[in-house]
Amino acid sequence: MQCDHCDNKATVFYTQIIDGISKKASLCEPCANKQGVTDPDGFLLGKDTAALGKPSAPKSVLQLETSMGKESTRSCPGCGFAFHDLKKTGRLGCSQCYEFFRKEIKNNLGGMHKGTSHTGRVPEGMLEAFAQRQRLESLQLGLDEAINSEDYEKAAALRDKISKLSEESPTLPEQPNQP
Amino acid sequence: MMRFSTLMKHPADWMTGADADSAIVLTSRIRLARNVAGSPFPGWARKEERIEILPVLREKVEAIPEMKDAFSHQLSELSSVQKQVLVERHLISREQAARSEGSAIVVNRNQTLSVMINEEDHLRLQSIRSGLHLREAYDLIAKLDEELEQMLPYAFDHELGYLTACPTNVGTGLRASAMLHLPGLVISDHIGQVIQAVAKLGLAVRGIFGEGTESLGHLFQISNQSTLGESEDDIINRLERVIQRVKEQERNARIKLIEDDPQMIADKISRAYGLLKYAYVIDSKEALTHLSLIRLGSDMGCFARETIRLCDSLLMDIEPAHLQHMAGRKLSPEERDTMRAKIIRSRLQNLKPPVISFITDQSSSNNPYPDTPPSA
Repeated sequence: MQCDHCDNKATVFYTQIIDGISKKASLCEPCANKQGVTDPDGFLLGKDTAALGKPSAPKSVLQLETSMGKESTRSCPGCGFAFHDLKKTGRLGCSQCYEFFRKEIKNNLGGMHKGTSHTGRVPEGMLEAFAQRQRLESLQLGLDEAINSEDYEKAAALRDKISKLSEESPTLPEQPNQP
Repeated sequence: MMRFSTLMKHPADWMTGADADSAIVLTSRIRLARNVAGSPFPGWARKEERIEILPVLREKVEAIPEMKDAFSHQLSELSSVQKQVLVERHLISREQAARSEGSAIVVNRNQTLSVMINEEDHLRLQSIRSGLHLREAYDLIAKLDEELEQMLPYAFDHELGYLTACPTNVGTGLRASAMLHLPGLVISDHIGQVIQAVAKLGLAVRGIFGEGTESLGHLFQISNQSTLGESEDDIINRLERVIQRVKEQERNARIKLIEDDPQMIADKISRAYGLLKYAYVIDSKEALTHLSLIRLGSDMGCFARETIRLCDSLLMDIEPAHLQHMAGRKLSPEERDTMRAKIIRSRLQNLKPPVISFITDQSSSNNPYPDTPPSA
């Protein structure tokens, strides 16, 4: 059998089943290594459309790569990583990339994970700031709801709470510096 | 500092099946991906940047009490066989084995904790336990993580949690996995259903020694895929529940095999015994398949219970890099097959023939004509 990617003989056969959808790939060893399928801790099949066959393939980084908008030509100020580099490397450039490409990344995380925001452990030094941020976010959510339902009295109270809390707020780590 | 030869001579408890209940779940593993803020991820960083940050990270890792007198080496100091041996022992990843300068591995003395530095992420903390003990493994690695976070500014985001090179790890950065031996489900042909069911729950099932459709040695690895939107506890509890369930199904499959077709299972186990004990040339796949049956036989009472441990150390020792390390030189595949057979013969030298206690006289093994009443 021939490799899905080149003319070599396929020696690695990989089947992946996620949410009941199975994908198969037949690869030669160099291509398999390139795809990361030989890494036991490795990456999901579907980093490359050719190996996939079906465009309906759900949750994978593939979506991250294909759904990038025009903005993908921008580069991260921290490390010079451009979003389309993700197609080549499957990895981001630095932690600041998450800040810079937040929108693009977030748009695609849902299929990959159970949720889109962190609910696990927080490093000790960041606990206070993290809790604060969560309180603010939940107030903001309440405010949006109040405005939508035209409950302006409630909205005003919430707005005051938010501004009071923001003033007291300790310096938050990794504040977004909007591009 | 611990030497490579010391590491080789004293395999970790989890490598040789220390847990009394490792007949089905061999090992539990937890891995945390961590990065330091303000420095590019290793894969994107320039070589000089990797080399620059390495001693900073390594010094902190070595300073942790649990890592006292650890095995700590740069990948560039290790030969390709040595690196491959570490991969076969699950102490480093294949990805890291491909690296050299600017990457290091730190393993504690009893090889239960390992820290890969500058692999895909700045830090990959890993803990392995024998048997199904994901919680214990997590507690051990969480302690390491807490000590490191005092010393290093982790890349953490209020919304996305721990930031990792690959978005598939972001959030908790936690990958929990267990290695399972499932010959009962494979032989009874129920493995497909089980894999489908597990996959439906968003968990991944992989073979251990190869990524083909068929897993070698009836060994499978089950792990979580999602790392964001669930707490560490949720991930571990969910995985543990599923693995417990698979374990029960394997247990039932083994019981059913004995009830339904004792001759077939006795035949498989006994042939595996004969083959391994008398083979002079054996490839990896054949060896693993038959060792798997000896392992199954030990659980079914055909061999002494300790035989499971014997199988588990053999599984590791007959892998290509282990053989070459033992030989002290590169071996051709043919040479490996010969050496593999030799090692297996010598290890099984004192293994007594299987006792097949589950075939009783009633099941007519001694009476070739069950319909004919024995003459008085």
